[in-house]
Amino acid sequence: MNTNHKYDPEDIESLLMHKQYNELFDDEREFVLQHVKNEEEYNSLRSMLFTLHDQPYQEEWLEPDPSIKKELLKEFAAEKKGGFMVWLNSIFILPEIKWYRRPAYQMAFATAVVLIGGIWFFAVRNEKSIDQIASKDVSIGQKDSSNLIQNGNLFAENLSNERIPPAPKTLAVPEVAIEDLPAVQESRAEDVHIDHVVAEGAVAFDDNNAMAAPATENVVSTDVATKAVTSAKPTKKDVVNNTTKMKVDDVKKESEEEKNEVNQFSLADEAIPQTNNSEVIVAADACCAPTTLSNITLTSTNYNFDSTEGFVTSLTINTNSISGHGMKDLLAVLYTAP
Amino acid sequence: MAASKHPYEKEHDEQLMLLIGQRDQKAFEVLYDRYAKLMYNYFHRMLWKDREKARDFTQELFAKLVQKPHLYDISRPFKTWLYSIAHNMCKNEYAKQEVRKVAHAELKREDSFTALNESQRKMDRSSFMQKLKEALSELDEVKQQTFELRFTQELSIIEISEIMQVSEGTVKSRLFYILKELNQKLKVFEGITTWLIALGITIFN
Repeated sequence: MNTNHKYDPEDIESLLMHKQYNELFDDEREFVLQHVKNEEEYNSLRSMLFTLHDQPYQEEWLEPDPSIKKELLKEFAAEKKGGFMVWLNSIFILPEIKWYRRPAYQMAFATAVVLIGGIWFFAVRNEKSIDQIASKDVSIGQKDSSNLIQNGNLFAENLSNERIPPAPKTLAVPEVAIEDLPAVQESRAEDVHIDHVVAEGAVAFDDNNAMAAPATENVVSTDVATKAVTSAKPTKKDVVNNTTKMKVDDVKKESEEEKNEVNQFSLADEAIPQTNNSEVIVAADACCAPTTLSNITLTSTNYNFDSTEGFVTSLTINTNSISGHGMKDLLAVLYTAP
Repeated sequence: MAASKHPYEKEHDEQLMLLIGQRDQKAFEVLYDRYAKLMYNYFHRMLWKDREKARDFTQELFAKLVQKPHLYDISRPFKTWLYSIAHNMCKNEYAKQEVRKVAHAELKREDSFTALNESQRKMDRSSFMQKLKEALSELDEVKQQTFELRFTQELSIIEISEIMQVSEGTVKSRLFYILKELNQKLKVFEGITTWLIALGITIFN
């Protein structure tokens, strides 16, 4: 029998360790005798092996000099960080380590934290921007202006970019009883310029509680806007003195809790005069935070003009509310300067 | 009351090595304490019982961990990797000291014969131990290292094969021939070994 196939020749150490010569099976003995001369040598080797394992030759283990450790720690502290590569090595291996120590999980967790943090950051930033936007210069693009006037044939063709004055956060919306307003002197309109669209003021009034004309042709000053917001409720007299006839036919209010919904307000009055130097001021009151026209997306505008009467009979502006702040009141006043 | 152990004491060598890669000094300390003594004694025995060399080599070995932790192949057991480095350091040192080593071996051999003659007369346990040490020192470096790793550091055959980068069969074969060689050299003490086994195990432990 060829025992070479049964035993690895190097396994003799195992036999020496575990069996005396007389305990060997025949095939084991045959194998052993290929490497040792006889039983005597086997036993001698066996004795030597045990002796070596017991380490009688071994001197007492020496303790390393403590200064080695000190110097190494000193060197460790001085070393720059450079272990990223070895850390990366463990992404897909070392299955025995705890899951939260495995780089793959750590990276996934870090990514999730960054994503959540980023979303939260931008959400907060967006809210803040709404609060701050009233104090910023806002440009009304030519395109928006064009949209505003495209259906109103009698209005001026150009709406220049305007500086929108800031408005206070809390707005006192004058309760204009439209029905109580006196009849306004009729006049035929020639050219009506929409020079100013104030989205967040309120009705613009002057110091005398009268509806104020813009300070300049193109700019509604901050003062006017502020006064417009803070002014008291206009009186009939004021309105009459300004020879203004207007009637706000319909003001649709949306709940302030409703978000991203279309707010609609409209003016529909056959008595809106169309005269030279007429100006339209559309004032809107946001309930929760000041806003500007730039924050209101004009989804559509519609002006109806009665050519025989010379009035704008209705004005409808559809807007989107500002996210997070529904429009409580949106009041539009068509004002014709004397 | 015993001081509570640092949590790192329970960590695997491989995990500690990862922490060292992240410049965790405590991890390094734990790993050093775990292996410094082993490595110091390994170098001491492998480098002609030169304590100064053993000290320098131990420091150099651990300095490699400090300076280049990224060189650690994390797919390998740390212990095997560490011994591999130590093994190679010794090999390099042997190459450097080749001339001196030959002279040293010659000197040892001469002393050995003289001592052996003396020990033949005494035949006592202490002389057997002395002769065994001498016989071990006469082994070539490869056999010395194999012997050291197996019988002193008590590494497994597999670990030794990885450290020395040879097959397991080669390691076993080397060990067997070391055994035969030692047995041959210490034949004059035949009977002593049997006596040591019978009585000496508790003594040596």
